[in-house]
Amino acid sequence: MIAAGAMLLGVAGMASLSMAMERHHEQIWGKARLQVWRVWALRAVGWALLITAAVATVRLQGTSMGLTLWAMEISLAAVCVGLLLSYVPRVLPWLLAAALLAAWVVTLGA
Amino acid sequence: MKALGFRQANSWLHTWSGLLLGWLLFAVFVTGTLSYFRQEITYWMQPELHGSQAHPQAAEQALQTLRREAPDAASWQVTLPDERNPTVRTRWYEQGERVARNGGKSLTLDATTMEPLAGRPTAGGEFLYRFHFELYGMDRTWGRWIVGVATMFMLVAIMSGVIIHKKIFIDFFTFRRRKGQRSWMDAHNALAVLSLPFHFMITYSGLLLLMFLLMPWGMDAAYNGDTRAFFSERGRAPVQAPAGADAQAVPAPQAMAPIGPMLEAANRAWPLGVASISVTLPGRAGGTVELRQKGAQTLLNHAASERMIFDAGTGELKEAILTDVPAAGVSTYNVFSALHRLRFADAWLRWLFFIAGVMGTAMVGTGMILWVVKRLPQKRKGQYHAGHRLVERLNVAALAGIFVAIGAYFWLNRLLPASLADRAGWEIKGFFLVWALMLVHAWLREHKQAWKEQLYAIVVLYVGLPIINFQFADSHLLATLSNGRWTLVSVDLVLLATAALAAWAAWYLRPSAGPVRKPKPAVQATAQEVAP
Repeated sequence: MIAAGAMLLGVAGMASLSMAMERHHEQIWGKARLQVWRVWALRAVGWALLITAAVATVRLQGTSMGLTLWAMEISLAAVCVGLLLSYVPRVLPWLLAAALLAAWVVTLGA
Repeated sequence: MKALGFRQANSWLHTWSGLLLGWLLFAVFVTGTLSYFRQEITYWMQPELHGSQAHPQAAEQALQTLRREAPDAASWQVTLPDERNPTVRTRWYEQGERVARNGGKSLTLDATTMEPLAGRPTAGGEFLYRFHFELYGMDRTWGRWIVGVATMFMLVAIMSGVIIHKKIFIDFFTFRRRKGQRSWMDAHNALAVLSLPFHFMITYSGLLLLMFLLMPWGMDAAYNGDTRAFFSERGRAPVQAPAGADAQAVPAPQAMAPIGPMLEAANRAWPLGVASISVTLPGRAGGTVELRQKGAQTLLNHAASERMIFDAGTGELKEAILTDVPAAGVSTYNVFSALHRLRFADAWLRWLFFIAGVMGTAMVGTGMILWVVKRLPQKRKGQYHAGHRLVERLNVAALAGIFVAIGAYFWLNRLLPASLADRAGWEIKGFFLVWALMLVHAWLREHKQAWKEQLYAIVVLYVGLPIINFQFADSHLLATLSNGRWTLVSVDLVLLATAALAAWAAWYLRPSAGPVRKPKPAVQATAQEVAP
C-alpha cells in the first residue's frame, strides 16, 4: 500500500511541478494569472511531495530498493502528467487534488 | 571546411551512431523488455500447466512425491508455486551425480493434485531473453560482442542526446500533437528524458554485465586467467556439490521432520515468503533442509536471497545465512547488475520496469523514424538516394517486422504438434523465417504500404492469439479471469493492447491522415508521408 501511496504522491508532485512551468501554467489558467508566488508555491509543493514519496519508499524497503521503486514510480508519474498535459491540460489541478486525496486514503488504510 | 561546434558535433554523433546500431538496439530493447516476464511467457507458452493452482500444502506434498519418486537421491530441490508460476517444480540428483544447471532429473507437478504435468517442449521466454544479449545462431562470444558494442553506442547516444537537447527542462513535459516532425521530435525527447534514469541504468548495467567478456584484461592480469577463482571470490561461485555427494557409504535412514514448522519460521522472517526448498541426503542421517527467501532485502549484495538451514531430522534451525553488504566497488556492480536482471522484484516493480522498457523501445523506434522524417523534404525535391530507401526498408522490417516475428513465434507454439521432433527449435526457426520474410516484404513494397501491411499482420496475429487460446480449457480469458490467473490474463491483455496500438498506427497512416489545415505547408506535407 505504501508503494501505491508513493505512486500517487509522485503523480501529485509531478502535476504540481508541471503547473509551475510557464508553458503549462498558461495552458491551464491562461497568461493573466501567472504570478511569481504561485510558481514558487507550486514548485515547493511539488518537490515536497516527491521527497515525501522518497522518504516513504526508503522507510518501507530500505535505501537501495526504496530509491529504485521511487525513481521508477516518479518516471511513470511524469509520463502520465505529460500525456494529460498534451490532451486534457485543464484536468491537472483536479488530478493533483484527487491524487493527494487518494494517497491519504491509501496510507490511512495501510 | 569549418569545424563543427560542440553541440553540432554531438548531434552528428547522435544521428549516425543511432542510425548504425538502432535496428539492432531496437531488437535488443524489445526482447530485453519481454525478458522481465520471461518466466511468465514460458508459463503462458505451456497450456498443459495452466490447470495447476497454488495450494497451502504444496510443499509437504511435493516432498512426499519426491520420497516416492526418488527415495535414494543425494538431494532434492523444490521450487514452490507462486503468482509467476503456480506449478511445483522438482529436481533431484542421484548419489554421486554432478550438480549442474538443468542437470539431474526433474518433474513439474500440479500444485494441488501432485500429478506430473508434461508441458509442450518450448524455449519460451528463455529464447527472447538469450537473444537480447547473445543473439542466435552464432558463437555465444560473438553474439555478446556484437550486443556489447551496440550497448556502447547506446551509451554514446544517450550522452550525446542529453548534450544536444537544448530545452531539456523547459520541454520536460512537452508533447505537441499533430505537428509532423515536431511531434516525432517531442515524442523522442519525452520518452528519453522522462525515463532517463532507467535508460542510463539499463545501458550502463548491460555494459557492466558484458564487461568481463569484453574487457577481461584486468581480471586476467590479477587472477592469471583463473576466471573461476575471481568469481568465487566475489561470491558468485557456481553451485557447489551437495554435502555427501561424494561420500562412500550412504548414511543410515532417518525420518524427516515435518516441513510445516520450518516454513512458518521462515515466513515470519521474510515478508515475501519462501521461494524454494532444497534437501540434502533426504531421509538419511545428517540431512539438511535449506529454505531460500523469495525476493531480497537490498541491492547492495546483488539482491541475494537469505537462506535458512535446518537439521532434517530434528527440524531445528542450524544456520541462517543472512545477506552481508560487500565493499563499495563490488556494491556498485551488484546494484547495477541486480537492477538489470530484476530477479528480486515483485509484480508492481516488474511492471514499472516493463513500462520503462517499452518507453526505451519506443525511444529507439521514434529515433529511427525521425531520421526518415527529417529527410522527407529532400525526398520531395527528388534528392533522394539509395541510402534513404535502405533506411526506410530496414525500419519497416526492424520496427514492425520483429513484432510480426514474435507473433509468429507464439502462433507456432500453439499450432505445432507436441510430438514434433525438435519442436522448440522449429518455433525459433519460424521466428527468424518470418522476420526474414518481413524484410523481403519491406523491400518489395512501397514504403507506406509496407508499414500498413505489416501493422495489419500484427493486428491479426495478436488478436488471434487470445482467441486460439479458447482451444485449451484453462488458458482462455474467460477461464483465466474467473480463476484469477493474472499472469495469463496479463499476457493476453498485453497482446490485445499491442494489436490495438498497431491498429491505431495503421489508422494514422490512412490516406487522409496528417494535421488538418496547418499554416506551414512543409510541416503538413511531412506528416502526410510520415510512417508511424
